[in-house]
Amino acid sequence: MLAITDVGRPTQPNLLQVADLNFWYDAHQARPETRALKDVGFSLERGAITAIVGESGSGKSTLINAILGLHSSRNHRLDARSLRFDDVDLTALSHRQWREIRGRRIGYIAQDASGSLNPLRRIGSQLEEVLVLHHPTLKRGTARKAALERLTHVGFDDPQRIFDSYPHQLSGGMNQRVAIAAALAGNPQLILADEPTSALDVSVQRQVLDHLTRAIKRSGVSLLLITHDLALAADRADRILVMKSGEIVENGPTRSVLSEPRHEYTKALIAAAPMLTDEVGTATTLSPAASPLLQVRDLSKTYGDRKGAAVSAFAKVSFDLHPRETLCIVGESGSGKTSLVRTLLQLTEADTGSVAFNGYAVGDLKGGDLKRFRRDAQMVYQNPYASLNSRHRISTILREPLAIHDIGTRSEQKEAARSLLSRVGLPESFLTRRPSQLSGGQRQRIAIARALITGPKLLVLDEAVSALDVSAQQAVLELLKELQESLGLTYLFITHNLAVARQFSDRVLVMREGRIVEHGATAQIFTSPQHPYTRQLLEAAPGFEASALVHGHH
Amino acid sequence: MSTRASGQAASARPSRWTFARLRPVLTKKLLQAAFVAWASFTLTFAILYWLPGDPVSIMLGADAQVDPAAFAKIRAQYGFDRPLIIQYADALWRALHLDFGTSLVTGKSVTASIAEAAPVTAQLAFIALALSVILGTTLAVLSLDLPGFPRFGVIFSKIPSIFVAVPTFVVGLLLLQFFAFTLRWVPATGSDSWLTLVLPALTLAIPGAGLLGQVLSNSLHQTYSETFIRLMRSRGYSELRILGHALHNASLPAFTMAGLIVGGTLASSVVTETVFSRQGIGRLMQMGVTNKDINLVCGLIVFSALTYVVINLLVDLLYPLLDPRVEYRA
Repeated sequence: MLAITDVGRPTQPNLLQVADLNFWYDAHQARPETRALKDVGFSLERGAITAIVGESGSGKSTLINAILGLHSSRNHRLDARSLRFDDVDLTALSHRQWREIRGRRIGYIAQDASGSLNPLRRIGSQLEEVLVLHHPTLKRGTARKAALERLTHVGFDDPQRIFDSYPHQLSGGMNQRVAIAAALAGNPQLILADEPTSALDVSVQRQVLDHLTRAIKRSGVSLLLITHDLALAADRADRILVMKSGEIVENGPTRSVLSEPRHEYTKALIAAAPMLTDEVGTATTLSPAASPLLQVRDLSKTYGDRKGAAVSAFAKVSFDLHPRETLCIVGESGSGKTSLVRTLLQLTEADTGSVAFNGYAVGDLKGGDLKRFRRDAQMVYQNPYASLNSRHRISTILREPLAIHDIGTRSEQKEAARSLLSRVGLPESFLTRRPSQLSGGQRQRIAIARALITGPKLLVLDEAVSALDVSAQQAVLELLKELQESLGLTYLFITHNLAVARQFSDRVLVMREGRIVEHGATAQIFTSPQHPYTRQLLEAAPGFEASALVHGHH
Repeated sequence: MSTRASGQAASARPSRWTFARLRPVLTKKLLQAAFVAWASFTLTFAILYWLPGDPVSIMLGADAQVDPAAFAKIRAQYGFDRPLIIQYADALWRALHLDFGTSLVTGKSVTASIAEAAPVTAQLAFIALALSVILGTTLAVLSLDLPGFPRFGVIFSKIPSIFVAVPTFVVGLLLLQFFAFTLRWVPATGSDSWLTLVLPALTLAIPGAGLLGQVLSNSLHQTYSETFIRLMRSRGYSELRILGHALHNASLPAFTMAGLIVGGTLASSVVTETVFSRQGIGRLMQMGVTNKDINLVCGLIVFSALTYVVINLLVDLLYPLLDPRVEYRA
């Protein structure tokens, strides 16, 4: 690895050396207990992939910003016994000196792939700009050639087309690959990747990470990968650091962290990463006589696109859903999952086919009957930040469905809100709060309570835990299981997350481009997938390779 | 996903400016323009007709002693004795040929008067717009507090609202008092040399600069909170280079605003040209309204409406050049 550094430059054994790093967002409030980073210490080896795993708020991004000197606040305070990159002390750099480091020696990749590039300029001109910035000798023609070459390095077969495109014309995964090329443009020694694939679909995620690791291996660059997904870190990293509330609680080679976790929190993370465990949802035993609650037959829906051409959202979908059962619909974005549930709930009308709920045809319902159906079939949405009115208090939010359906008196509604709040495990004091005062997991509990308050039989959960941290996700899933048992609920669960499907569902339905490609009991789908697409999805899921490490067999 | 993206990207390079793509847009916009012109003409005609006061007595002057027979003769001569609908149809027909008749006060052709005054105002408006853009942009950028620069942003972020709040005539009079009468740097009135343009242009520019400054400052702050700006810093871009990218992005809402400001300049020019005694559209308008000169005011209103429509058409057509995400849509 010595070959990378210039001859004559004193070479440090480690590329990055951090010791006793403390960070405050507000220098005026700099007390030991208000630290955002607490005595953080670690070092990065040259040419290695290191992952920092932790939930949102654990201080991962704060750490990245400290390394790059990019803080959003101005009156922060940073104390460190050591914060060195190679031969540079990162604690005392001027703006000009920082510019020598950023991009040239440390590259950075952000989570928001589509926002990583200026939306108004072509990919090519942006890549050329950053290349010329770091290699001033490049002339117009050679810069263009270099940009095209860099695009091939991140896996584009037709670099010219990408070069001529604007960011909005490319998918999130493609944008992220361009951002990787831009981060590598200055030939840095270290890449900091902050949740680079969290916003992408499973198979795209794998593809982007493959290109990233390949590009890094090619140039001998080190990678510091920040992620909330332990399974993903387990697949890629040589070394794993676990962060919790601003502290590094675990630090070791991947294999030993997974097989002999020392800290309780790491153990909890491993247990909460369903792909890494062997736990598979056990199918609810159904009495064979039970008639299906939801019966879907040959359902199809077509939308007109902007030019008037017909686009099929989904076609010929048929399945049964029995009472007290959990059915997962799995698929990537654009596979028609959400269009399907919207049609099932009669929020849009189907073109052909039928939906029967409890024996009656949903498509024929009108007026009062349709309203009754809405009471019986409720929905919980993906984004708990957008699905609750931020101006209302929780008590108002919970009571609203009862008011709409004209159930009970005002005091009865309040009582119902109170009892449901305790059902979903939140204290009564939350009734007077507003959504902005709650965490994502707490908001999703409110959303669930709100859906349950009308006493529904069927709950449609559209990516209901996808926006949550792993531990919040686990807690919400456990709550849902408990509610299902005590209230006899039936769940239709939409997700792109195979790990969640595996852990939570009785049966799985795999959708691709609006069609069902595979349908079966959860254990069967995960142990012996029949359709090639299902196999492809399973292999792309983070943790697929690493699960052997946890159990010590391979 | 990839197939859809490739389809779009493949069609991206061929020019977005071909006439075939523009034609439906242009047709629609021109029809809208025609409607706006007609509506403004009709509205003005109606308002001026129903306002108290008779055009002929105004034309003759308040003190004129004319016997009723002669008065009726003059009315007939100008066609004011005809039924309203005929007068309207006749005026509209002539307006279609850009003939708004003669001014009831000066007796000159309305079209000729406008054609004479328009360049004076256009020159003023153009310079005022340029000044607005420069001033507004400077204020917006100074309000940013970029890393590595002194932090006076709070002060500069307050100036635009002051600019918007102060009435045009107050600004005009203050500038006159200070630069023309006290310092004697520039002449106070007239429209002959370019020096006479300085004060009125500045007067006109200040409210525009305030509006632009506010809009641009908001959108700049918003742009600076976006991921790609952070990423540019992480790639080692200088603050100046980042500012270039950010200004392009932030200019989009300000660009639409600039179109509106040009329209507003025509209205403000009434006051400004009166204060600085310049023979432009604003002055003409003020004369027309005071004297109830139906022909002149109708002509001016239609002219203003058309100018407004044309400028907004230009803004709409230029917008996709600034923002590739926007497509022409009829």
